[in-house]
Amino acid sequence: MTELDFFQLLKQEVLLTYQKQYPYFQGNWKSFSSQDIQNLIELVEEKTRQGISEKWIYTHLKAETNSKLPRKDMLDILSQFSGFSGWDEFVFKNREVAVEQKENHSQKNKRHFVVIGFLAVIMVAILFFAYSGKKQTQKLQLKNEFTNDTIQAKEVKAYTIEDDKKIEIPIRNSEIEVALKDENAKVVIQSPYYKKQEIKVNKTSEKTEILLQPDDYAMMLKAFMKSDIKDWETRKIQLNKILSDNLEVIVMLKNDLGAEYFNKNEFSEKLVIPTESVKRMQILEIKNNDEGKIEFIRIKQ
Amino acid sequence: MIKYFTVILFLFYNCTFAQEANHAIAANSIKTNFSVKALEAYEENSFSKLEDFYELLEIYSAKNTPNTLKKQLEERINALYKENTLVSDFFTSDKISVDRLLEKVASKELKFEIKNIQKVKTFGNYWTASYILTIQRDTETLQKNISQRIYFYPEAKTFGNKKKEVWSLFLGEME
Repeated sequence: MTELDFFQLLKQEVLLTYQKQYPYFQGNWKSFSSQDIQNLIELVEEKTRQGISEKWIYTHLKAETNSKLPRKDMLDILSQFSGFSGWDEFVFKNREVAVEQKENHSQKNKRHFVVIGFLAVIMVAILFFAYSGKKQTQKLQLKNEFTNDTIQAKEVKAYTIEDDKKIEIPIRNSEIEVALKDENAKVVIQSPYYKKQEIKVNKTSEKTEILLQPDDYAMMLKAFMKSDIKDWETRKIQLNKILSDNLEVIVMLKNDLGAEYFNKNEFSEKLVIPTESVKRMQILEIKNNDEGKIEFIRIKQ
Repeated sequence: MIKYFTVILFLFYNCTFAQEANHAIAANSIKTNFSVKALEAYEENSFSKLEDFYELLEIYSAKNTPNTLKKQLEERINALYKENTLVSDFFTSDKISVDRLLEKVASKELKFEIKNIQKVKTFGNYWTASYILTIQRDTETLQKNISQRIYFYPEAKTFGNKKKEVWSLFLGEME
């Protein structure tokens, strides 16, 4: 700090001292009026028994900037007015304060740097662990290849194959989310109504959907089970065509506690005139023979 | 002496035959083959056959049901029933065959509704189910409490070129 800086500080101290006597004055040197100057002259005289001219105040105190330091005796008067023994004490005390402030400031800065650095390290660590700990995933939508309609979760099952183990992937809103652990995530899609599909998903893959090819006969069967009495004769002919003579149908009862078996003739009769109980049935598995005809059906009652 | 020997031999043969028959009955008995929980699942499944029967009977009873469809329905309804079963004539309570019942309801435009289906008791190869049957024709309504047998026994079923023994459910007599 230069001597001129200390003089600026002294000017602030003079104002503060003046405000103690005239608390209603809340301004600065710029707004210091002629009345205030008169008041100050009187106060200085009263407190220091020394005089200060109006002109000096205008020249040195009211001026916003000071290019040179006023005379030392004037500085002593103002310092005494502000509660110090003289200019030297004022400078000495304020230098200590300044040094202290500087030290405090630098310590504060150091502390800030330490805190910011610490937070930055924590943030980097969190990001690192979050990035390395969380598996990268990819969402894939399941769609019918021909109609482009999304496929309902109850009609299809999805698995990942890890170490020859099948792990089921939940399907939400016709979508599966595949964790990309390595570059060879194998996904298997199985459904009684669609042809089985195996796909490989890796980090570079930009696939967003899996298109499943419907099994025509299985789709017909599903439609027949939900149909009404209309067109029963056509249905009978078509069922005879799509169902193998060796057909075995297993209807699984509640909680897999039992099963009922039907052959081709019995099952066809059920589907030719589907009752409410048939409409409630849900196909779980369909197997076709070499000719493509359905020869095994597993149903949930 | 020969006479006594013949009588003893005859009694021994009869006892052996009776024991074998009892063993066969026990082997095919529902309770010896199924747990209580499994049996409940089969009972529940059998109730849906009762519902199917009345649903099909209503279609058969409709005035506009063509004969070709009636024939198909006859096959379907008969497949639900154990062979040669007698059921109740809903209007006279006489015991009649399923075919005769179909004749009687044909084109009558009847509406059937069943509720409160419950299993009453399990016997060797059947259980009895009770339910309330409501028959409606135009503005007339008839309500009957019916008890009906439901058979459950193993049979050799043919699946094309394969044959296997499976347990099957059939509707039985109305009591």
